[in-house]
Amino acid sequence: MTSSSAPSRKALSKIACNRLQKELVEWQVNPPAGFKHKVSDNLQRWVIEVNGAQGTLYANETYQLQVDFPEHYPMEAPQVIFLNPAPLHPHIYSNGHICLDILYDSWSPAMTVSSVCISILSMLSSSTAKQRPADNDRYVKNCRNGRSPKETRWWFHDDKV
Amino acid sequence: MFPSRSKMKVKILNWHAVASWTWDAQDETCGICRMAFDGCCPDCKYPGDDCPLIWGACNHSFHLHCILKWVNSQTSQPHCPMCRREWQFKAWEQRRRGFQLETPGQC
Amino acid sequence: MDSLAEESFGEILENWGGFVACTETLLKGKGDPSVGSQLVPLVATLCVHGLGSLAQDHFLQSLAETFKTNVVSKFWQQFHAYRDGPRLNVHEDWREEVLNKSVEEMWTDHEDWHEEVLNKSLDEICTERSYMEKCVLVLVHALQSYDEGITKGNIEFQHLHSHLISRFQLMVSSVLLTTLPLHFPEVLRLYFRKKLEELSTIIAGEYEDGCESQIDDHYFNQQTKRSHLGDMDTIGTYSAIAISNDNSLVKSIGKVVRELRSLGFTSLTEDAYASAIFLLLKNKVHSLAGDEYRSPVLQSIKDWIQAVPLQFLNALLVYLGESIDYDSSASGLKSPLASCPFSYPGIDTPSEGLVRWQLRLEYFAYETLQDLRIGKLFEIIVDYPDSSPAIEDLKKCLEHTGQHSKLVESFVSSLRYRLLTAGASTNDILHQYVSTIKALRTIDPAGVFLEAVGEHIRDYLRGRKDTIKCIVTMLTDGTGGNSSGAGNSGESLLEELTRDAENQENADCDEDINSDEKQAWLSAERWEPDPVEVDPSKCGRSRRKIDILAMMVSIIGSKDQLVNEYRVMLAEKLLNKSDYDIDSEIRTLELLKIHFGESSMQRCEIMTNDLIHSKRTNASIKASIPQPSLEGADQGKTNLPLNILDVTIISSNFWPPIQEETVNVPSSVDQLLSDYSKRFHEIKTPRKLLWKKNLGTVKLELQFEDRTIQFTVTPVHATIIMQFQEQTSWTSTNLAAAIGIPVDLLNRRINFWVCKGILAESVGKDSNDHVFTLVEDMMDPNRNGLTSSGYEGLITADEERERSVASVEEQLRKEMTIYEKFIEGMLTNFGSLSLDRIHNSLKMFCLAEPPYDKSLQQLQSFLSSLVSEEKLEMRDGMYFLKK
Repeated sequence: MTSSSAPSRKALSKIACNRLQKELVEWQVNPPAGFKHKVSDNLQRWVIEVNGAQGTLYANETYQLQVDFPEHYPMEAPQVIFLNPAPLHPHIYSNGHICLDILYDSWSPAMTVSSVCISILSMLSSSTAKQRPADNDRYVKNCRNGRSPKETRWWFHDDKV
Repeated sequence: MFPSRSKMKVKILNWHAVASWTWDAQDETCGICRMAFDGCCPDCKYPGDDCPLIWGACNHSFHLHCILKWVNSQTSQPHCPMCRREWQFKAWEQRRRGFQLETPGQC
Repeated sequence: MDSLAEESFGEILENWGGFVACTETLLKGKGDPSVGSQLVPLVATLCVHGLGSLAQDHFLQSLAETFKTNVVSKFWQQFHAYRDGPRLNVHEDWREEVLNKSVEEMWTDHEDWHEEVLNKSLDEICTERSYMEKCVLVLVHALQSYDEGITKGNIEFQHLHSHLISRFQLMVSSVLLTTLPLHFPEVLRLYFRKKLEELSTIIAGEYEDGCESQIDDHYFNQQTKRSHLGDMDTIGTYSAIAISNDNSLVKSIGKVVRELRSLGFTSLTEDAYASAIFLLLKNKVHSLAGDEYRSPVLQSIKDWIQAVPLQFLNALLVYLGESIDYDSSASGLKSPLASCPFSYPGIDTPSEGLVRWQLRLEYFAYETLQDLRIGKLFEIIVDYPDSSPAIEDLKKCLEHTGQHSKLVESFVSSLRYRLLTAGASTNDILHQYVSTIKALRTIDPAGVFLEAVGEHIRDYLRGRKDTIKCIVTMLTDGTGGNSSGAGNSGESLLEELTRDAENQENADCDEDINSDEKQAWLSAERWEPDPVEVDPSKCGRSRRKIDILAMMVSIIGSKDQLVNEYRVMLAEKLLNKSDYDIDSEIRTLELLKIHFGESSMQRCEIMTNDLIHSKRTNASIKASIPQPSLEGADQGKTNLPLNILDVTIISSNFWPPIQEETVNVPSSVDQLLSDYSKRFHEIKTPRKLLWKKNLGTVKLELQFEDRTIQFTVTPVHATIIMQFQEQTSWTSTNLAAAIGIPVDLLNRRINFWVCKGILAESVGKDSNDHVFTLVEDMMDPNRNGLTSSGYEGLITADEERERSVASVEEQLRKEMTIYEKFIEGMLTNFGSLSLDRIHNSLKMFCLAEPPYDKSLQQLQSFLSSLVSEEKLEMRDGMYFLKK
């Protein structure tokens, strides 16, 4: 199960906690368009509903993102995956893993859940074909033991999509 | 009618004014910890000299403690969390620290 | 058979007639010995015919009749004078009251009433009685003579003797008791009371006389007695004086008691002197205790019991030659108390009866004193801690009587009636609350009764709006802001803080958890069962430490609210400092930190740190600027020397919201401020200063031709008055424009100068526009006395000041607004939520600055304001978004 594939989790540090609370308050005040944070009492794992933008391949479709925060967030990137069923997209594997540089090497502590969400939505919106990545089967097979996408060495397909 | 010139003089013996200090930063909050610049980073107890601000060459500012944490966590060349340019401390910070030495008792 | 009967019949009749006549003579006559010898053959004959018992019956019946008609009625008549009409006819319920009253009346009305009446009539009746007893003995003798002729043994006789005597005694007492007038017991009580009072006066006198000359002797005696008896009680002042049993007073009382007993009034007599003793004791307790709460009385009462009633009882018992055995049926069971090592000065071995008397009397004293103190507990607590001796006494009494619930009931009702009313100021209530806590803590260290009493006060205080403010003031100000000066509990609250700090240090604990465990262990060791009166629903937290601060916090509900109010008050104080002297604030803060935890007081600490840093920065800025040359200073008012300026530099993020108003301070001052900023920026690059020009204090001197006056005012006040240097008269509109403040604010502030007689107010052309003119002439008669001293009119209290800091209520509303969106978001997701759920979610998620620290009540009031703004709806305890 993808949801159980979270890395062994250490409790959030004080800094991470502080920061996430701020983000949550900011989110409540000003949520990114097309997203809905599902309220739970778990600060370390957010589940966010994504609505495909109008005029794109994913219009009127709803997916769920699961965001898990590491102990040292925001110095480390959160782990972001789609819950089953993941949208059909050239950069999204059927196990929900997302090939997006800002989630890995290009993470910056100035980013927020909100800005990550917007990046993911824009990635969806710019897709021209609803299809899995070419190496989907191989990758998913490799990840069967519950490997986190953050352990993958990604090479990013192209900057456009 | 002339407003007559007063024969009273006011002599100020002491004027005790109140001011607040502010870091003169472009943003209100630190991009890393999201705490107010005029407050302090989550690791600090006291604002001001105890938890100073630092500027990069790109002119982005952060709590000193926050950016150091980021810079130290990067294995490769660190970049500015805001603009992704290579992170360099702004040169005049050196000068500022020089001043700081004048005021005693602060870390 | 017939002839025998006939013959005997005649003989019997003859003898019976003789016997009856003889009896009559005997009873009427006064001890004629010949009657006795006449009786012998008559009785013998009657006995021969088996009529002995009939003869006895007749004899006793005749005695009874004679006694009743001749003696008893005469005896009662002696006391007729003391019988009042109403007493005999009153309804039962009234009886006691009326009786008590009539005793009092008798006491006063018959001041010269003397026991002589009683003595005399008792003597008389006893003489009669003993004569009759002799008559009985005559009969016994007659019967005996007959018996001796038949049997040799005198066992029969012994039996007969005691049988007849006891019949006689029964007769006497039954005749007396059946004819007893209702007021007689009272007469007895009065008699004993008077006698006892005489006795107690004598004893007091003897003590006075004896104490100086014989003190060493007494001391020695006491010492030996103590070691001998293992004395536990303190022997009091009277102890060394023992009443000798041949004391004439005791003798006369003893005689009366004995005579009364011989008449069969044993229990009546005992009741009478017992009630006289109790009455005397009650009066003694009242006179000793009275309204005096500042010295202990219990010991002197106990001493008095030892000295007067017990001495009396002992002497009486000794005189009567017996120890009264109260319930001899239980003699097999020795009272466990009898073995107590009581000390009876002058009495070697106290009888069990005496021990019982002591216990009875002491219990009565405890109960009387306790009732007296409970009735006045409210006053006693008002007087606390001066009244602590009274509290100590009360504690001891309650330990013996166990009537704590009486205390709670009575005190709660006096609280309701006297304290928890609209007329009492919140401060007074709080002060009384603190005193109550302290006083009851003495009586009941477990805090059970305090719980019962305190809850009423707390409930009431929660309904008052200024409660938090008053508590914080009490915590921070020595005086507790109590203008009535009714006490200095404010200081004692600070004391509490200090004591708490010491305790914590002694406990030597770094971590809270450890200290809690240690505390729990310590209290477990000291465990005592809760008193029985405890309401079981309230003893869940059976081990509470009585902590005054915690009890204060429990009025408010949460420590955060208290801390918040304190922060506002601290801000206000710090901003109005004209120097950087904050030692007392720091001390209080340190104490609060110990009590409430460092993290709660973090912001306050930053505030005080700001002051400390300001002082340093201020000094280094001033040092870095060269003093303007004297020449420059002389040139004019435009250049003020920098050394008159001091600045408090605050970290505004950590202060309560500041009330900012713009004001155009005089240009010379403005220049000074900007010089200062520049310098600050240089030293602390890249930090800058943002001026709060309306805040701070200004000390200035108004120099008139004939006088100078100093004032300490706000910058706005200073700015206003400085405008009158250039121009002596301003309209409010113009002046407001010149200063850059709203006209209404100007009018409020300028009033200060009008009140001080510096400015005069008049109505301008436009009736809304006031004209203010400088009063330069001191000779204006209206201002006499106002300026008599040159150093008058310093602004004293905050009444002249507008608040520098937003109040807690304003802040709350502002702070809650942050959560509004959050709440809306939750309601969008879930549709509807209960108050609890919203509260818990906010607590869960809003930990960052500003953390969600509101109470359920605060949230509820905020939510209901959202409902009234039609943003939310509430149905069945659930909140919805208004569609």
